[in-house]
This record gives sequence, structure tokens and C-alpha cells, in this order.
Amino acid sequence: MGQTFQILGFFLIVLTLLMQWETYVKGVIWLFSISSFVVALFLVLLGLSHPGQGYLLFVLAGLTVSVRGIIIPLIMNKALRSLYKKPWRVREDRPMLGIGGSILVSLILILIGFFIYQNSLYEVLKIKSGAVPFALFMQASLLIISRKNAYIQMMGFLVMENAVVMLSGWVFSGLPFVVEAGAILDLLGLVVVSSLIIRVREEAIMQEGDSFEKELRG
Amino acid sequence: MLVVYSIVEILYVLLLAPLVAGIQYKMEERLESRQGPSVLQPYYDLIKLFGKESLVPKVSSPVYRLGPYVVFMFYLFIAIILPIITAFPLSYASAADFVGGGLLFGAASAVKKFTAIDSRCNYAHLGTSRSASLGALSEPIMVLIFIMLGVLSDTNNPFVINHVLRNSSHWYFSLLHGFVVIAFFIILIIETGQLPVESHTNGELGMIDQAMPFEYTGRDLAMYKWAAYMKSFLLMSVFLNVYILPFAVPTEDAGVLTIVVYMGIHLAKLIGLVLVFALLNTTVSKFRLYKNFDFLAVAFALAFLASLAYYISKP
Amino acid sequence: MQYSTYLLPLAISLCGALLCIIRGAYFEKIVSIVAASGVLIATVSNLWKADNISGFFYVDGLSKILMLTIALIYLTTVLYSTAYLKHIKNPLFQSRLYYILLNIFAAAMFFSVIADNLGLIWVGIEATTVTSALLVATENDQVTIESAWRYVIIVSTGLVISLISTTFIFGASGTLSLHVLLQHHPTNRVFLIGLLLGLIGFGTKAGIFPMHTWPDVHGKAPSPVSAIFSGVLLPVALYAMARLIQVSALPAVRIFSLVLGILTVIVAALMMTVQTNYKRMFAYSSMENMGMILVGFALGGSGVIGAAIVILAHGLAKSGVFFLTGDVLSTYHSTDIADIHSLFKRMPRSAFGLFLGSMAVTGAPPFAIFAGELFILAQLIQSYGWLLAVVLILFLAIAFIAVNYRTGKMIFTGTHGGIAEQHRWETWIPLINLSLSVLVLFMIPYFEQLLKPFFKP
Repeated sequence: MGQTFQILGFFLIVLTLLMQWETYVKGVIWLFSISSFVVALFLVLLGLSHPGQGYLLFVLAGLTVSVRGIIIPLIMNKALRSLYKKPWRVREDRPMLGIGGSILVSLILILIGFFIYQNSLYEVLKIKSGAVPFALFMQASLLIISRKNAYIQMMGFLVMENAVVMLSGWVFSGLPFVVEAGAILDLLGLVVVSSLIIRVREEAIMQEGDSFEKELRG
Repeated sequence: MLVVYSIVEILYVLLLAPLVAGIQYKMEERLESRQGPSVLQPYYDLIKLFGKESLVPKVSSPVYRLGPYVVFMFYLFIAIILPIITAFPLSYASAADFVGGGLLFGAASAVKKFTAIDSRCNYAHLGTSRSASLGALSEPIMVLIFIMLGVLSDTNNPFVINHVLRNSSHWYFSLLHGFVVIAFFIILIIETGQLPVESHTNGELGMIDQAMPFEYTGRDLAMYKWAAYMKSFLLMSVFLNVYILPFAVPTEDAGVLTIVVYMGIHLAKLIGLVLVFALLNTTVSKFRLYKNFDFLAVAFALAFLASLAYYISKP
Repeated sequence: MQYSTYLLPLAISLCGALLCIIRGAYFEKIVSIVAASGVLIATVSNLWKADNISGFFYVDGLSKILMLTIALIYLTTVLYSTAYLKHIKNPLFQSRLYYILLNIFAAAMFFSVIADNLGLIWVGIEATTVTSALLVATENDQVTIESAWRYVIIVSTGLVISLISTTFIFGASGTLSLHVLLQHHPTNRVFLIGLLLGLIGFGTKAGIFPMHTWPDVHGKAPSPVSAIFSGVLLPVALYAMARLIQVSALPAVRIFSLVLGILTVIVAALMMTVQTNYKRMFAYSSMENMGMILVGFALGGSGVIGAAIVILAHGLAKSGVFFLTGDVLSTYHSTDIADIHSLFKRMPRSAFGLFLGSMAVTGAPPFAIFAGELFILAQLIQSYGWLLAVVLILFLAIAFIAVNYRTGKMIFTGTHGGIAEQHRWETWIPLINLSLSVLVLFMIPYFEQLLKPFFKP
């Protein structure tokens, strides 16, 4: 069982690395959908390994697949379509790091995540492979920081939430169901609200450029 | 007996390398519903080239003349130290381990670059600079891959690694192995010049390794091309015998017949890999030149993740 | 259920939100005002009920004080919004949606302060982020949208950190329920890490240093929204931090929050000295007061009374100040301090209110914030000696001078211009708020009685 968890965890790390490679927003949304399916698979396996109380985890896995894997990508695709005439062409125009550089920085962050975990939490939690969700968390924060396109920033935040679900499942075998369900519903609300805000923001940026950022400093 | 096997192995590599290249060309053409050249076409090309005279630019130095022969020599030497037809080390196999093999590949490409620079041809310089920048990233990745694979057997010996992977399904199915295989496949694409990195046509926009022997003619070119075929053959053999399919390679107690049979099996394995390459060459399109570096970054990431995966799974 | 009246404020505001969907001239405004008044009545009547600590609710004195704060400011914000929304030139969405979101926002805050489960508190606070994000972006202005987006990202990241901390707390002690945790006070390291992470995560929502970058959004949000942010949302996040501090038996947690609180006050005071935008200046003043509240909670004892006083009084006073700045903005159409002058001539009532308000939020007597800060400083001197208290007093004084200098410049300089304000009924609201914040002084003995459980050493 531990072996399968490791494989799934590393698969998620590779998927997030590929998200760092992608410049097109649709590709990032698609990769996020796949990684949500992997998280749901992880939850199902977790439920199978706890016989008896596992049924709640199955429900949670179903919720994850439907909300994170299907509904949220649908909402984001709809938002893209309503804003741009050619949504498959939307991409990150002004990358800060360059793709190869950002992959390497992502790797360094994975290493730092492992290092931090090893030195601080390992003695406390006693599971060596718990470093994988940490690495995912740091990769997701790189996704948010290194991108200016708001859709990709939102995706980075959702990957961070995925990482938290993995962390709770891996190390502690799960949060109570109410909290997880509440988190998923909150995410849904957040995505709806954010797609509205992003849409207005991108419209404004498309019209004017970024001369307004000076007012926000200080 | 060992000496005989060594000679047989050298001859095997020497004689079959052009055949594998010819099979790849034929397969690509057949996949596109064309007739394609005969499978023995590279042999005919080599024989033709040996009969022609070599022209040498006036401004070049002896490096230009000697280069292809030195490269040829390197590859012949590597043919002995890798497990190609046997799973036990042959006469000079202890001269270099896995990392040494990687460094020898690097030395050979360095000599190639010297000869290309020495040829004072613009296209050769173009190819050299591109190859050097890609090589600056791909050579360390290759060494990293070799080291990572050595980790699972606690040695650097390709024969021991072959043995371990053949017998232990725990290591064969581990994450470390998987990541390293994918990373090495990417390196293989780059080093042997398949799509999506380099196409067969002589387009200036995308030539990397093909641009380097631009100035060579006659016997020097024949040596150069033969060395290129051998490099592909060796890298593919390493991939198959050490990484993916370490099975059926004859061990120490095998008789002569087993080894001969294995030579045929090895050819079949190579044809399988060549088929994969042919499919790749006829389906994907070439990367924009600078995207190759991102591609390499992914390979590096995978090799690196292999080390993290190993670290986690260590008890 | 005897204690289901604690659900009443939550239920009433949710009903108000649902009813707002119905179209009708002025319907949503009337419904919201009715809902808010109902909420206020329910909250005040709850003050006399006993504490309820059971599986679903955890309502003690602190929760009741917070509910009172939320109810009061909710009512005044709704009243003020009915008049202010006419001034927004280019609204992003209809006013119906504004009231729906405002009601759900209040409902989510009520939910957070009465819940027993730490995870449910997290869910409530995340729900407030969701609803308030659109409220911030009411004005369809480029900078506003950008600051709304920045708010969403920063606060959501902070809340993800608190989700991780909730995971750790659950894993370390097997339960997320407050009353069970208060009985057992687990002390293993995972629990400690969970608490510290939770303080950082909720601190992002509360604007505590070093996560203080997002309160700039106050500078661009419409005035009623800024008022309810500073007045209630930040204290609710601090409520979550207070519960975390209360649950721990380890001194490390208290020292950590004490350090964070003091640093927040220092940074806020320093940043106030260089501000040129008066709404942002008051936002940093909120940050300073939040730092003081955190210091009060970290100290325990009479520091908690001081913190509760500051919560209620600051909520009232700051919301009044933001309402007044809304009036000033609608008359002068500029948010730079340099552009505002001769307020006393042009808008006498608002100038009067602004003068008193800026004295109030920086802690001048006779406003209750002064008394609250006095309590906190007394406890600080008693626990840690004079040095820290002197440092705090120094920076509070810096903030006081900075804010009042600028406000004075706005109000008293210049003499041109005739009376520009209309005597609308809603200009009384900020003055009512400010006078209420004086009356809080008289509630201090009652607070002491409510907050007895915090006095355990």
C-alpha cells in the first residue's frame, strides 16, 4: 500500500512539473483535471485500506472527482470561452522565468521541501514519504508566484488544496468528512467568484496594459 | 575463450550497426507507404565512400584528418565494456565502469566537436555550437542516470546492474527504475538524433548533429558515418540490456550456442526499439530549437526525481 | 433545543439573503434592514443566556461579544449602504447581488463564532473570503479589481496553511472539537506545529505581520465594505487565533503570538507615517489595532478584557470613520490626502465626526479604545516588565501623531468653499457609531463578568 501511495504521489509531482512546463491555459486546466482524478484514486485506495470506516472516504473521492475533476475545469473553460474569442490560444504572455528555468526552480523547490520535511517534521511524524505532499505544496506556490495569468494562479491554488488533501490522507489518514466537504464547497464558491473577477480583470488588462500597478505599491 | 568472445562482440557491433540503421530507414519509409531503400543501403553507402578520395581543407590541422578515426576507436572500445551479447564481463571490461562509459561517450563527442571546428565550415560551426549547448545539459544528465541506476546495486558495474534487474522484481518495478528509464529514453532521442529533436533532412534551421560532418568526404566520411551508426547501436543496446529488457542475456555458464542464439535475440530487441523510433519519427513534429532545452530540463527533472524516489523508498 | 436561539442570527441573515433574490423596488434594502435589526435583537437577547458548550456550539463570553459586534456593525453597514450605493458610478453587479452577498457574509461570520469544531470555523472563514471577494470588487475600476484579485489569492493561500494546521491538530489529538481540546490540552510536537501554522494561516486573514500586505485593499473597496472588513472580518479571524491560543497549554504559542502582535503594531505605525491615501492610512490603523488585540489575547488575564473592549469599540469607531471617508470621497472624488482640505468649512458635520473618529481609533480618551489599550498595557507590564510596554507606547504614539496630523491637515487647513454636504439622514450614522464606542466604556464590568473563563492562569 505504501508503494502505491508513493507512485501516485510522484505521479502528482510529475504532473505539477508538466503544469510548470505548459504555457497554454487549457493545457494547465486539463492537467489539473487529471491530477484531481489521481487524488480521488488515492482517496479510494485509502478507503480500501481502512475497512469499515472507509465508506466516507469513498463519498469524498466521489465528491473530489465530480467537483474538482469535472465541475471546476468546466467552469474555468466556460470562463475562458466567454472572455476570449479563441480560448485555446490563451497563454502566459510574459513569463517571468522561462520554461526551462522554471522547471529547474521547481526541482529546487521540491528538494527544499524534502529537506525541510526531513529536518523538521520527520522526527515528529515518522513517515519518510510524507515529504511528497510538501514538495507538491511548494511546487504549487511556485506556480502562483511565477505566473501573471490569473487563471494559472487559480490553478496553482487548487493544486495547493490538492496537496493538503494528500497530506491529510497520507500522514494522518484523513480529516473529518464535514471539514473536507466544507472545503470542497468553499472551493467551488471560490472558483465561481474568481472566474468573475478574473474575467473583469483580463478585460481591463486587455484594454489598457499594466500602467495601473504603480498605484498598488506601498 | 573470453578473448574469442571479445573479438566476436567487437565484430558484432561493427558489422551490425549499419544494418540496424538501414532497418530504421526502411521502416520509416514503409510506414509512410513508400518503397524505401534496401535494408543494406548503409553498407552500399559505406563501400562507395571507401572508394572515393578524401578532400581536406587547406586551413585545417591534423586533427581534422585523425578525428574520425579516434572517434571510431572510442566506440570500438566502448563496445567491449558494455553488456551487449554477454552478461558477464569480457576481456577488457574492467577498464571502465558505467560512469566511465558515459564519460567515454562524452569524450567521443568532444573529439567530434574539435574536428568540426577545425573544418572551418560555417555549417559545422553551427552544428557544433548547438550540439555543445545541448550536450552541456545532456552529458550531466547521462552521468546522473548512470549513477542513479548504479544505486540500486550499490556498484557502478553495468553487468551487476543487469543481474540485479533481471532477478529482483522489486527493483524492476520501482519508481526509481521507471523514472530513470523515461529519462534515458529522452536522452536516447537526443543523442541518436530522432524526432522530436532532430529530423533526417538537412534543414539548416534544425540541424544539430548532422551539421558537424559537413566538410568530410571519402574515407573520413565513411569512418564518421560508421562511428555514428555504432554510437546509436551502443546506446540502444545499453538501453535494452541494462534498463528495459535485461532478460535472456547469457550468463557465465552459458555455452557458445546460447551466445549465438542470443545474438539473434538481441537483433530482434533492437528491431523492436527501432520500430518505436520509426513510429516516433513518423508521428511527432520537430521541436523549435530552443524548446529542446526545456525538453532536457524535463529529463533532468525525471532523473532528479528518481533520486528522491530512491531516498523515500529506502527503509 | 433550548440553545437553538444561537442559531437565530445566522438563520435570520441567511433568510434575508434568500429573500433578496426577489425583485422589487427597494425590496432588498428593506429586507436587509429588517434582517439586520432582527439579528441585533436576537444577539442582544442572547447576551443574557447561559453559555452553551456542547457538540455543535461553543458559545462563551467571547463569542457573545463578537456576535454583538457583528450585529451592530452589520446593521449600521446595511443602513449606510442603502444610501452609499447610489454614488458608485460603474457598479460591477446589481445592488440585489450586493445585499445578497452582504447577508451571506454576515451569516458566515456568525457561523464561525458559534461553531465548536475548528474545522467548521475554518469553513466559515473561507466562506467569508468567497463572499467578500466580490464585495470588494463592487466598483468596476481596474485598480479595484486588481486589489480584489490580490486579496483572494493572498487570503486563500493563508487559509490553505490553516487547513494544513487543522490537519495536524486533528492528527495529533484525534479531535477537532474545541471543548474536548480545552479539557485535554494535548502537548505533543505535532499539535504545537499545528497551532503555530494555524496562527500564521489565520493571521494572514487578520492582517498580522508578516502577512500584512493585503489590507491595502481597504484603500480601494467601497466604504461600507471597508467598514465591515475592518470592523468585523479582521476581529473574527482574530477570534479564531484566540481560540487557538486558548487551546494550547504551551507558552511557546503565547510568546509567538505576542511577538507577532508587537511586530504588527510597530510595522503598522511605521507605515502610517508615509501614507498619502487616507483610506489606506485608516486601513493601517486597523492593522495596528489588530496587533494590539492579538497582544491582549496572547497575554491572557486582563489583557483579554482589553482585547474584547478594543474589538467592540474599534469595530464601531472604525466603521464610523470609514463611513465618513465615504462621504468625503463622494464629495471630493479623490483619495489623496493632499487633495482634501477645508473640510471644516465644506462639510462641518462630517469633519466633526472625522476628527473625533481619528482620535478614537488611535486611542485617545474618552473613547473606549483608550481604556482597552490601557488594560492590555497593564497586563503587559505585569507579565513582562516595563521595556516592552514602553516600546509599544512609543509606536502607538507615532501612529497617533501620524494619523491625527494628516486628519487635522485635511480638516482644518484651507478656508475656501461653501457648504457642500447635504444634510442626509445617513450622515448621522457614523456619529451614532462613534458615540456608541464611548458607551462601551460603561460595559467594562459586564465584560469582566463574561470573560471569567479566560482568567485561569
